[in-house]
Amino acid sequence: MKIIVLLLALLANLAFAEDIKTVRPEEVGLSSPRLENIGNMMQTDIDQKKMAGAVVLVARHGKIAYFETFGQADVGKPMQKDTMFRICSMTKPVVTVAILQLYEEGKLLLSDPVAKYIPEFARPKVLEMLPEGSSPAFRLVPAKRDITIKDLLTHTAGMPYSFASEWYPKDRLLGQMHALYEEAGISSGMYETEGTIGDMVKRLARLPLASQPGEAFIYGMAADVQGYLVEVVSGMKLDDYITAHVFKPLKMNDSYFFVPEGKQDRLSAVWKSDWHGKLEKVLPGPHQEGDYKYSPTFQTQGPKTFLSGGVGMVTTPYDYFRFAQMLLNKGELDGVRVVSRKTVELMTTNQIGKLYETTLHDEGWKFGLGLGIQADREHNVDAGDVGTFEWAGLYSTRFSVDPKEEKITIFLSQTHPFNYHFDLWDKLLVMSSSSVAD
Amino acid sequence: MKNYHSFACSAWGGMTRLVAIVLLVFSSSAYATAPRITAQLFGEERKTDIVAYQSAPSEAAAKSDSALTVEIVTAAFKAAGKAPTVDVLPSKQLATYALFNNEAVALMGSPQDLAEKDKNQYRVVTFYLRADEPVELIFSNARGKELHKAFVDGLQKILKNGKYLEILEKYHVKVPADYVGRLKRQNPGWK
Repeated sequence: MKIIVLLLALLANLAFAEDIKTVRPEEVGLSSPRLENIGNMMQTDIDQKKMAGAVVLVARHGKIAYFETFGQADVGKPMQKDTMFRICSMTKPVVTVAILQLYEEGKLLLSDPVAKYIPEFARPKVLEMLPEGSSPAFRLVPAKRDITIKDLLTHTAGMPYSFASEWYPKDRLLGQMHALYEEAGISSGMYETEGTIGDMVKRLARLPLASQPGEAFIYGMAADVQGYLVEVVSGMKLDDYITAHVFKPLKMNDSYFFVPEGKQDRLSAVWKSDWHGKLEKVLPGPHQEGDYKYSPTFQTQGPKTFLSGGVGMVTTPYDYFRFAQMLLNKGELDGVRVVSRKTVELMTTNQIGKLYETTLHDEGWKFGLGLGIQADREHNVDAGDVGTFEWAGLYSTRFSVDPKEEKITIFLSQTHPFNYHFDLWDKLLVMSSSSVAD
Repeated sequence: MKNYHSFACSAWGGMTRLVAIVLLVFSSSAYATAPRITAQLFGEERKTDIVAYQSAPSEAAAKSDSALTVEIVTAAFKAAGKAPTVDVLPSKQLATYALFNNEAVALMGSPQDLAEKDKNQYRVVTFYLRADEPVELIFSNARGKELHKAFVDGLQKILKNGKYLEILEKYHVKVPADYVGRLKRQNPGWK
């Protein structure tokens, strides 16, 4: 019986592989030997138990030239090209496209105050820390202006993630925000969460902001507010809207918020590495590590009512390639237009003025709408070209689109914690860039 | 004469328009453009009289308990002819901040919400016992005198006229036989 199941799985994978057309790298100006560097690096990391497995896809001029799997997806299950991944924050650019579709239809303006649609956001206050030892530890001051939809799309609305205090333990402001978020039951969406995104966003709206609107790049909960905004403005649940307006038009047939039972066996496990040779599968259910809470099962078990616009999606490398190719094509794929050229241009140009995108990158990187944008080559920027846009996810996933070279690079693994993968990601992007051979 | 008047008016009007245009063109004021966001968009801001908190996220029991206590408070004030605004915040820290910083005159909370040293600055009324744990309305001494008196009067009225019991029954609370006596023991000043 087991043999039959394995054969069926193999056949299904072969059928899937036949559906996806790939070309020799040289046909699109890439070098096969140079791309092989990627495989060597991936295998070294797997051998050193820095991750269990990964998929890497490199495409140029709209054609997939490199699509390789490495290691295992789950115990006893090799990684497959159609393995499904929790893409966490790579959800954000998709939800941004949804907001921009509504913007194109005249249903909202980027300059609109969020409170126009979610009244709980009216008259926000900003939290300012008082000198250490003060009681209370903070004061609240009125925001200089309302937060706008553009502030959400650029992470300048002053809404950090609760777990940012884990990343920056000496930052008293983030510590205080964490305490308030905990009290109010604000979920990052990275674990099984009761209730709906609307319930949570309305509570979030009653909490103070961590900065004056528009004055700081603070990565976090704004994308969840975007997700609820899609629901309010469209009158549809977030997953229904995204399925109808993004997944279906782009034929992203393996992309979901909650994975259907029939496809759950294709979902990779999440793996925890100590980066020193110890790698183990993360057990189902929520795990708390300091201020950070995460779970490998929030998309498959639990209430499955919380549609996180920030981290909720599951997809495959090929599906996300189709999304990225649509952006590279300035809004259309296979003759289907999802957003206009002008809107993609808006998404992929600097929208944060003199601020820097300091979450995935640092100086030299700006933020468009839902995407980090490479602005110059003068700082610590290793790969790509000015105009490259990209984003990443907490379980170590990353995508990068280089419009100048018409090149897409996608890396998907499921590794916790992700921090040490900055090095891997950056080297991968260097290898992808240096494989250009024309 | 009529023509002259008309000419004068028109000349004066033209001059006024010219001055307005010049002022607008050369204005460096931040308010030269009409505001896109006005108070009317969100409704006028209402000052909060009473703050409460419901920290626990969305548990049905906690929500119901919070709704019950807000309803008792609202009914008591209504019986005394008052309708203060009650704002339920998702954080105890923010609710106590609002009381201590005089943004609200009263806080719906528990005895632990006040530090011992601060207790003389507030008047406290226990209006409900949640499994023997007092739920209190804590009034600022300085600004809450009038609302405090109204609440005490109104609470005693709804205890007498059966409205208090009606609310408890609405929320399916198991009502102890001596619930009025127990509340009186928590509020020694009551007649």
